[in-house]
Amino acid sequence: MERSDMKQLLEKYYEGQTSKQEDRQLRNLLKLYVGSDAELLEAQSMFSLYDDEAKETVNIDFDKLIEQHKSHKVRKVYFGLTTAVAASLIAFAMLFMLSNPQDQIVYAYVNGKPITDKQEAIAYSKQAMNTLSSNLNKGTSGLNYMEKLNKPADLLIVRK
Amino acid sequence: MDSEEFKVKVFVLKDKLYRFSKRILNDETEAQDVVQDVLLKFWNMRDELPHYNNLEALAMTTVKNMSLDKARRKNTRFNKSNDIKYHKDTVIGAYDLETKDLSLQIKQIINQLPEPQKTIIHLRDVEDYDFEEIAPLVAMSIETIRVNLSRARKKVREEIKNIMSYGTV
Repeated sequence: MERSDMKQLLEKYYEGQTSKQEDRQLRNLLKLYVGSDAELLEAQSMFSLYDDEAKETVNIDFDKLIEQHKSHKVRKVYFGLTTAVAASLIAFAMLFMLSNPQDQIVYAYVNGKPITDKQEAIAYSKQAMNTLSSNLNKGTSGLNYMEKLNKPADLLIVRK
Repeated sequence: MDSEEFKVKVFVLKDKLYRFSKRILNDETEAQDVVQDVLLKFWNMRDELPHYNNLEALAMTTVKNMSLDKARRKNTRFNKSNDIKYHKDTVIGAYDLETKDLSLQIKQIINQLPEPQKTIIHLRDVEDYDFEEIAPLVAMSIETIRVNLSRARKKVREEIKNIMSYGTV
């Protein structure tokens, strides 16, 4: 092809009017071009870049990608569960704090009933201490009859 | 769709998807992330994929949308920072005349084209798409695509001419 024909085809290319076949023809002609025409050399550089770019690849391994995705999913589930448990604990703690306001201190529980009055709690504590103390002071003589249980039964049989 | 069919019909597109995303984002790592995300998205919907007529068009559209989203987020973050001047001087501004590599300079010229010119020139001149294949990806008529393609090509020619006349190569 003559240089003028090549330039005409190039002009058609710049107008966006070439077919794919004409584009390919132009590229092949320019690859072989060894002249000094600036316009053709510029186009040669441009098409050379397009050809190089079309060969660019990305390194992604299918099996690794799917494996990573699976472990990521498992991590997401664990994260979701942990978050749910943490949220439940926080909610429970908040409910507990709301049901026991700080200005109403529970000093003791007597038979499951909270004692919020300080004096009443002291009185209950004293009573409990007294009961404990009195039980500790009790003698063990009341348990003497237990010895008899250890004696052989034949001693209790009346012999004629 | 089983994994073998997925590999043949979807995974095989990875290089094309990568090049397209890289053209939009101008960043290899981010483009790779986008492609991985798209492949996983498609893997998760693999049972629905047989209902689509053109998986390549669907994949390319998804890559385009995700890449543009990412580019927008990146630009928003960037514009909020104090480095706007640096950005204008080094990325948007004049080509690096110090660069000896003409290919790199042409790449910069294409990357700086406005959308959809950048997308159209990439699909036509790098990926060798028909106008009919480009149309659904840019939501334009074939005639509008031709006009945009012509503008993009002429802009590239003009800039290459400027670089050549500066005598940097």
